[in-house]
Amino acid sequence: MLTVAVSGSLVSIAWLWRWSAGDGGAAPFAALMTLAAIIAGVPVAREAIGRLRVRQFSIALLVTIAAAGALRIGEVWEAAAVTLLFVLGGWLESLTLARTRAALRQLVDLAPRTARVMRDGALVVVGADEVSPGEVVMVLPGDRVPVDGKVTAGQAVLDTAALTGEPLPSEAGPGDRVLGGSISRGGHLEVLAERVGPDTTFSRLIFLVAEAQDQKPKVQRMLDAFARWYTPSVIVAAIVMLVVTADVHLALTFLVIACPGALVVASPVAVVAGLGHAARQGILIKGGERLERIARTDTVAFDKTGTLTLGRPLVTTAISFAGTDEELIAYAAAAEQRSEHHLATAVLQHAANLSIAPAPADNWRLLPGLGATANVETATGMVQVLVGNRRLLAAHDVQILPDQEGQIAMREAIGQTVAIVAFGGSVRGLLGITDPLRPEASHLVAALHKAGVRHVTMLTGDNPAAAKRVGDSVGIADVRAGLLPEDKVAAIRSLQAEGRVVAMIGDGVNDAPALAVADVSIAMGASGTQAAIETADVALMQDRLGQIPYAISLSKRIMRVVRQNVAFAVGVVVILMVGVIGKQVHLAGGMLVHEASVLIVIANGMRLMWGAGRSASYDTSNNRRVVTAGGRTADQAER
Amino acid sequence: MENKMFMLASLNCPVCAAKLEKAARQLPGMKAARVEFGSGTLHTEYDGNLLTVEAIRDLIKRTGLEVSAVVTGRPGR
Repeated sequence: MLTVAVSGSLVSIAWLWRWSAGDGGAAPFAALMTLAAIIAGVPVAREAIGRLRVRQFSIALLVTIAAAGALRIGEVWEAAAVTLLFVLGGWLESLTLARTRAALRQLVDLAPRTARVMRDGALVVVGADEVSPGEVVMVLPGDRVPVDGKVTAGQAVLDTAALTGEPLPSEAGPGDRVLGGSISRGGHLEVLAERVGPDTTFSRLIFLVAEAQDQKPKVQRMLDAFARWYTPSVIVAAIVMLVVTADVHLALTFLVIACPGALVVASPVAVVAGLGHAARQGILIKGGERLERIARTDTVAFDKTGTLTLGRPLVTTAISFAGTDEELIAYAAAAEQRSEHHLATAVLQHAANLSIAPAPADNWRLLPGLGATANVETATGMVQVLVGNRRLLAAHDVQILPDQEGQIAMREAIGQTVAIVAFGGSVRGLLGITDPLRPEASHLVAALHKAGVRHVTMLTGDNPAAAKRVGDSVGIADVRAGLLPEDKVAAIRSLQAEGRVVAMIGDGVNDAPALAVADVSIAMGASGTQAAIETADVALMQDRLGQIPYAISLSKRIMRVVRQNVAFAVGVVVILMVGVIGKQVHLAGGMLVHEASVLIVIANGMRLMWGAGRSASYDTSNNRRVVTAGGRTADQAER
Repeated sequence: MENKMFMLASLNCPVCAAKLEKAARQLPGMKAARVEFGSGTLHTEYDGNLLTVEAIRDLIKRTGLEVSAVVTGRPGR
């Protein structure tokens, strides 16, 4: 970036000087330009040589030769121009790469580096990696918890945002589990280390993010493929011209004109502008290389809970078949304590609302797609309590009696999700849970069709009745319910086998594998898991479903502008080259046209910054937005 | 066996990435080395008795790149 700034400034100063000083400014003009050409030219030459060493012909090579030639024949402005344009394009491209890597950088920066360990009765400070499981670490205010472990003493307020996305700090006290990477905002803790170093959740998250960025196929830079035949062809053509006409000036002019300045800038300028525009609206597209895939999306798969619905389910029915309702809720809450699932949260919230404390429990087991179990202290002693769906009960050989089944079916028919509570070999009660639909969900399908998506499907682990109910309200006909996480993966694979480009939208709670398999993964940023947000191709930071069709059409628009720019740049170069050969075009005039083409390409790319259309045009909520002639919007709430 | 991921600052040039990967693989004691352009990282797995973090850092510096962080991983990933 420094190179671009310095070289660019020198060029500008040189021009200003010349315009203000007339002919008297010729010498400083030449000097400044030469300096600019050299400053920008050195890194270009280095890249050219480096690539030659691995037998690659590059645009860098062409630019280096042309700049050197131009300096040789005294055309200093041309030399400066071609080198400056090349480093400018490179800088723009690094911006798009930086965005992709920023997430990983942030995580690594937040990783705990040191730990205070009790060893031989004294507190020593060691590297966070050097703690052994079973040792006790002290966490003071402001410290990052260095290990995953269990609190043995003390009380503190912990900020776990980096790991869980949870914006509100939580209290941790004896018996609570804490994760390495959380930050203590106050209080003292003694933590018994369970997982240390590379085994901590935080460290695994870092590798997860790094791997996610690596797994997507790397699209070879268009420019590199182009340069592989373009550069040698131009050099050969120039040599031929030199031999045939013995006109050095002509050959060098040809070389300089052939430097595709506009082409180097064509793609990155559009991508940077487009990504920046999206980011300002809370849509994080993780990198330029993913745009093409996003633009080609023709099928969208939605997770239900937390994506189409708010993911804040409420227990609306609690029925106990034996024993009191309070006992039912206390035991169910006890079993659900360790589950991250949305339904578990509803159960725990319900218990909290009724001031029913979860019964003492241990030995929690989470079974994805089935439910949760734990050993709970009940009135009759420690028993294994099951909370989940029919499959969970079947797996534990618990029969559902006919009238119990009737009660369950009745609730499911009205769209509730039923958590069946069982222990001691029989069904003890049910909890009916409803999850409200997101307001923007209703017009979503229409908006998606408008953005070019041909098929929409819902994939959920929930029961078919609840799923169908949501599907009907939203307009999704292809509803696949009762899916285990691996079934979701299979569903996406089967869609892909039909030749579709599939985008999956989820929050990562039960659909992380499906998100990884999809061609495009979209995470709900505000309510999704941190791992999903970090590894997805697109993160919707404001959780507005209306942003999905917008993201797809924006990607299409960016690709369109890139193609326009590339076609235009190539066209201009071809015309100019023909002109030089035909002796109609001379260096000064040719450069002028060249520079103009660069400006046009940049302007075309910048259009995406303010761009036609905002996500508001796909907004399906009840707020009306007014778009004025200047492209700005004003909110007018319809109240 | 050690497993370390080196985060490289401003890795913009795919050719430089290839050069680094090739050079890293040739270090004595290096079992596996892979540069991932997308995330800007060098993944290494090496014998801790034959190679050190400092030696790898030196190599990275010699290819003209900068190390911004080193993360330890579990061998066998």
